[in-house]
Amino acid sequence: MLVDAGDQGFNRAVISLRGVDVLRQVHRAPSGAFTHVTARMAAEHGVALEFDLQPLVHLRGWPRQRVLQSHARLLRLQRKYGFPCTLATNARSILDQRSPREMAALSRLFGMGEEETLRALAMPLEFAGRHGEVP
Amino acid sequence: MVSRLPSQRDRRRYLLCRTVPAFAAPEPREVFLAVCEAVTSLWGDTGAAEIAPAVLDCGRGYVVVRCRRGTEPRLAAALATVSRAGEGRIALRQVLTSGTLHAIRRRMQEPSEEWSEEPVVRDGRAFTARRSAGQKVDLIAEEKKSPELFFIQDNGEMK
Repeated sequence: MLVDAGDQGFNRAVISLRGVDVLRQVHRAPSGAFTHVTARMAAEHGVALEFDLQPLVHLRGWPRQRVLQSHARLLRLQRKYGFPCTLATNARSILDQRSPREMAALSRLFGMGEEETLRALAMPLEFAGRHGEVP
Repeated sequence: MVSRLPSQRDRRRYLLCRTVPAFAAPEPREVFLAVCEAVTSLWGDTGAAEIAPAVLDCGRGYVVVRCRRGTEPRLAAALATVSRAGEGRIALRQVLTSGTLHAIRRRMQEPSEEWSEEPVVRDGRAFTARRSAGQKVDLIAEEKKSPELFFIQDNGEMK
């Protein structure tokens, strides 16, 4: 189950809910919505954070710089607290999809290493295993 | 023009990219401008000058881009942000990075199948349906300005 991030209170409430797997679109949430407290909670509950690569592809200029800053800050929290993370392109057509190699190149822009990228790309499989077979 | 010794020439790397959708035939100049825009917006003017991107070949579903050696990871990241060339939407999928054009040309393959086209009307709008080798049906809106691309499955489900 994926949930769009909101303000800090919403994120904390969502993370502590059972069944939530991924918190997404954190870069669009208000500033301070995902702090070290939320990060620790995410690590304790095994809730993953989604790094959205779609704005890195489609935005230009300062909006993209802000997304890169946000992703880099979230990555620092991820390295410190160790909550799981995923990578997504949020593609609506084949033109928005990116190959793993391209996703690795894009995630390198905000400092994600190759091993971290591979782990993030494999994370959905872990969630699938967590919930058993999908009907 | 005096040719330089091989040891004095700039070291180059070549990236082979597949264009998506495969039937898109963008103008080489449009692809070059799209690549330059992507590189400049991501790495700035100084970074673009270091990378020195150039589109050497464009056609048959492939694009060959040249850069300075050592800058190919930066060029690869910039190529992943290309989403448009001229009026049409495209994506560039990286296939191979090589130091010689010979290896790049060896890897380039002709499209395996011809495209079959047929006119389709869906929700009152006219489209051209193209069936690709990947067992997908692609619908392209007929409007002249900013044509939209729709990708659907054989069962009619919109993707």
